[in-house]
Amino acid sequence: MQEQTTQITVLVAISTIIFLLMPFVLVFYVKISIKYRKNHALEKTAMKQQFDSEILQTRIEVQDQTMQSIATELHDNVGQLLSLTTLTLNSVDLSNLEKAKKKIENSLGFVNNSIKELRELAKLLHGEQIVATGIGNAIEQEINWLSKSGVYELKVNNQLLGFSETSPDKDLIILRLLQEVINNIIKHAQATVIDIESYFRDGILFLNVKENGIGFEVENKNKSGMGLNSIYKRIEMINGQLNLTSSPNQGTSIFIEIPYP
Amino acid sequence: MLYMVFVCFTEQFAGRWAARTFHNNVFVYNIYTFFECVFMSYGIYQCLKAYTRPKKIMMIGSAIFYICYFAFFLTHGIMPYNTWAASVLGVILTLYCFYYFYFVITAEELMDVNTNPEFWWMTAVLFFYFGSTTGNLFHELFSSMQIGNTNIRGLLFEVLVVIFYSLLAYSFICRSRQRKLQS
Repeated sequence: MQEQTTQITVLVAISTIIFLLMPFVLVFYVKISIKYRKNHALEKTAMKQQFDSEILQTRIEVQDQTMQSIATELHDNVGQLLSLTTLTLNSVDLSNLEKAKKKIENSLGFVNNSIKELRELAKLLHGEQIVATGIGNAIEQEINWLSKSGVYELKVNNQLLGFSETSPDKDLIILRLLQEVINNIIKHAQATVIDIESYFRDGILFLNVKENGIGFEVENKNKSGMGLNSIYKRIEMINGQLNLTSSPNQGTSIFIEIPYP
Repeated sequence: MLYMVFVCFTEQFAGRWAARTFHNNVFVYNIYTFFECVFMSYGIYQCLKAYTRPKKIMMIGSAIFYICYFAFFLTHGIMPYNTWAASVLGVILTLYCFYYFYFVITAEELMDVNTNPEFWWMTAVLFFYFGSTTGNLFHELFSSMQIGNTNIRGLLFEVLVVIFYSLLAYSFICRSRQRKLQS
């Protein structure tokens, strides 16, 4: 009987302590939970800020790239045509009408070519906003520009032309990725053939670029070299994956997979 | 503040007067419980209305409480301690507190719990009524048990009252600071 009473007393004491401690535990849990959520919200804000700043940086880089292309085009193409027109017109001798007529006709041809080139330039300027009309068009524009150089044999399979889905921020980053990859090829690869393929399958956008340049040892190459660092950073930012394969004199292949939109 | 004045009056004057006159002041606390439910429900209503429309649940809770309250009087009279009402009040107010904490945890707007007067007021209520539920559950047992000259039930409630009023005092300090900042 005595033992039973002791057992009941112990049981009551334990349940009383639990009842008294429960509110402590609850308040502690609420505080911890709010602290965790606050930290999480701060992290999210920081990530959003980082993402926004990266988007801004990308936009500036795309603009820079466009400006560089325009400057090159003006200097190497339109500028040359107009100089040639001036030279031709200066050499017109009105006493020899037949020769003068031929030179004026030539000049007219140069001016028409200049106008055509300027129209192309206007398209390029518009190309900066073309990303808003869809990633397929933006990629096509970039490929057209590359093909105009005439240096490379291009093999293109752009299945994204007319692709209806859009994601403005991702589109901008994808375009910049392609620009950086192409820049790297122009600057370092010494390639003659470039193979560009883009398509969309099961919520994933694929962008593959292969070239037959000098290649490099992937293991020996620091990621920060050749602008690869910023490519990797941006891929990571949009939860994408990049697979790079290369070996000396065997060219380089880049396979990009991006969840889309 | 009005509630505090009412509590002090019950404790210091009515309770002592009843003890002197009738040699039993339990019925004073039974009457006090009636108003306790009103005050506490109003306070909780004020805290909960920031998150939801608590009118319905407050009315249901109050109805359950007052049914138990009057049912006990009808069956036992006013002189014995109304354990039914006290137990039900403890459980109902504790559930309201849980409901409030649920909103605090899930609300989109994050609260600064260290300086929020409503949070500490609700915490005080939770501590007191959750603890007092134990006291009410083991009412008979605690009333018969002694540590030295002190009754276990009395001791438990003294501890709870100290925690309750400490938290209430802190809640009032937070409110006063909040008012100063707002003015």
